Amino acid sequence: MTHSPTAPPTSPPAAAAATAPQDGPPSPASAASQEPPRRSPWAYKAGQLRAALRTEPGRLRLIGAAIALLLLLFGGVTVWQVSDRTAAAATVIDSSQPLSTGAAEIYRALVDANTAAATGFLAGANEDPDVRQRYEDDIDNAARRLAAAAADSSGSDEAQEYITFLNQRLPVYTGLVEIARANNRQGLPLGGAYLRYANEQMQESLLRTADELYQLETRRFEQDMGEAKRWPWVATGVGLGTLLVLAWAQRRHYLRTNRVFDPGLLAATSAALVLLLWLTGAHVLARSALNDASTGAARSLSALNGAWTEALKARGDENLNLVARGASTEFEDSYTEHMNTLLGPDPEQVAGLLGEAEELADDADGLAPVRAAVAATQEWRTRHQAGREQELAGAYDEAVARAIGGPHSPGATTGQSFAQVNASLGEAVRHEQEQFTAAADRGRGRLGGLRVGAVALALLAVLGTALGVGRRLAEYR
Amino acid sequence: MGSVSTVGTPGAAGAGAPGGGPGGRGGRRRVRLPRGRGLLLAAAALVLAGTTLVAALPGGGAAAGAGSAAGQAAPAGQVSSGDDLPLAGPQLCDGRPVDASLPPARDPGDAVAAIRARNQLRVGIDLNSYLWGYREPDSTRIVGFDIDLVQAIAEDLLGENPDIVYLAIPTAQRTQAIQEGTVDMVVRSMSITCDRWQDVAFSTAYFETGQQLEVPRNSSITGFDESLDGARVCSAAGSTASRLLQEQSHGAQLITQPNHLDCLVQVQLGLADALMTDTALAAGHLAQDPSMRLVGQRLTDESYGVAMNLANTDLVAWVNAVLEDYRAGGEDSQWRQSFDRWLAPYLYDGRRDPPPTPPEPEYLEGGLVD
Repeated sequence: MTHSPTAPPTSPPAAAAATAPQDGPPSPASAASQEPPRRSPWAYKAGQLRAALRTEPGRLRLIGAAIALLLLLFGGVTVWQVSDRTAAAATVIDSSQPLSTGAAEIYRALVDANTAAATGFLAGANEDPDVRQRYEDDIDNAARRLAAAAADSSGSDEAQEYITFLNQRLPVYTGLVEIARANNRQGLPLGGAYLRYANEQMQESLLRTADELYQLETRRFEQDMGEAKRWPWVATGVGLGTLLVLAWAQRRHYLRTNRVFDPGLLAATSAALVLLLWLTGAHVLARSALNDASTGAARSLSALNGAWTEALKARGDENLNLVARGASTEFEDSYTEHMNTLLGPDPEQVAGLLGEAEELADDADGLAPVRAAVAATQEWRTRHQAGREQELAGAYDEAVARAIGGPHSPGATTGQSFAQVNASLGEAVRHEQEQFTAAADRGRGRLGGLRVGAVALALLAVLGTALGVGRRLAEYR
Repeated sequence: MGSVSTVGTPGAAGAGAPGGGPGGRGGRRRVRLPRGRGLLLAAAALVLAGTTLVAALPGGGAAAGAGSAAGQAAPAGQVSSGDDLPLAGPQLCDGRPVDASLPPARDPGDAVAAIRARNQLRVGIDLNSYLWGYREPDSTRIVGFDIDLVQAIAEDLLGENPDIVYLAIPTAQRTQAIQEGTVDMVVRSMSITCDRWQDVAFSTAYFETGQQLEVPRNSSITGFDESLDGARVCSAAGSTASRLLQEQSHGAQLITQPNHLDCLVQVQLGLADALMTDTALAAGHLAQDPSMRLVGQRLTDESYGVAMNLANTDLVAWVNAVLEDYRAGGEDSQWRQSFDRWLAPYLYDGRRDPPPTPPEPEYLEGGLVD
């Protein structure tokens, strides 16, 4: 279509004649123009456009409008994509990471309660009130966290199912522990069987579900983190395109007028450039901060949480082994397994989850508690070995004393070592949690202002474009 | 009473026999009737084997006529598998009674000398078996029917206030602990079976028991019969009870747990309707939960023995000599005193049952292994 149709009302046959001979497959345009009786508003507009393109002012207007549209698009896309990422970062900080941490804490409270139950059982009638209190606190804590998790509306249906299940099973578990305790107080071996059953319920039903809940929340957290870190390709693409169009418009302007600068368009270009640089710069910085959070602190947290759980489980098995009174080696084997996961199989080396946490710790404040936990775990392992040897030699009371203290206590119990491991890991987890929140906040903060800035800069650039193009248009009057 | 050692010197002869050799035993082995006093014992044993093995010990108050117990407890088609299932009636391993052991003798050999040199007896026990071997409430003392016997053996070997090391041994490691010498003997309500004779030596029987059903007081289950249909019955994994139930379930749904006590937990929690274990362990259950009771007939005849290393024939003969003394004395015997203290309240009903008596010993001619 090299010719341009003249005044639309008189030209339908021409248009039809222009397209019909080409004899190609009917295009939408030709279909529209082959209906002579009435003309669509679109065709009318297209005609106007074609008319406008024949004159320089018309072309200028068109270029100006296109640039303005692109700038608005750039601003809008930027606002949209930055909003998405800010929202994702906010979800990470306010919802999914706390939910993941909360699930980890539910899990830990349950393991802790199970461990405290075994410790108290071992002491029997001489149960330390602190141990009893710890058990009560753990159950309270787990129940409260479950209630909080259930109330959190951001939780998915799947998460709610897990939480409901845990809420149902927790009282069953505590009931079993109380039966065990009552029988044990009367000196009946049946108490031990009940505690074993309670432990089995804890391991195979409660903890399994709590772990699934944790995995679910952690997957969601990682997903949100990925969203927050995603590069805003559309916004950067549109921004680059807008800048190219602006550059082309100014070059055309230069070629036609020999004037180097159009101040309006120059201002628009600068504003668009600033916005693009801001967009990319802010994202580079935000991603680096979020990476600190997700690959630094979050990985540390994961290793530390894992180590903490393993330590608690090893302690529970250590005590359950003594509760079992040599009925089987099941708990001793399980202790060894957890200890190996915690510290690695070689007593001379620091490996396992604690080794990993030590490697991941990236500052002195984070490293110190991990080192303390490693030292206490090594001490625990040595003491346990001594206690186990006594148990195997038939010195059961001495073995129990080595685990929980008491009249035969050598003064240095595995319980003390474990308490240190527990405290150190708690401190390390708190530290890494702070690190995580700080880094994630930093990441979110680096995107802050970008939305407002995008709107302002885009409008500024549109204004500049209007002024620049308007001044050129004025020259044609 | 050191005068029982009348029958040869099997301790010295057996010491040379290597432990093991599972394949080649049985050919020469016969039950020889000991002379003198042994004749009386043998006569009693024959009568017992022929008629009322069960009568030696009343089964949980529910033991009706012992003869009928022996008759009913061996349903058609089950006796053939007697090598695995110690069903009612005399059980033979390669032609000899399963609970026959070396004749009693106090002739110190290497094993006894080693224990005396150490001045300490190491015994594998169970610390979770109520009435048999457990820790007394609020004390660190280990007590029970098994423990009384250990005490008697240790005093006989080492004198007054013997040094005894009690090692709690998991069920699965009993034979291993004996073979490796971790313990001198295992006294842990351990049934004498042909299979176990391959790995360890047993003393003569010190207690007779058998599998029986145990139910809550209000249960409608009446015994090992159609009343089990649809019920959930619990037994310890790998136990005789579990094999019995697998062979003939009477429509019951089987539940297996690691330990017989875990089955009591299942029943108490309503997760099982009944459990099957031997009457000796059931006594411990009844003592811990008076609302349980034994129903039906005793389904098998099993004997508990002291397990020792196959090579330690001097020790086996010595323990048998101790058991002779332990059983002797009728109502005043040490055995009876221990029974009255621990088990009578749960296994003996004076109105219905004949007075409890220890099992009659059976003795072998020659060594333990060929």
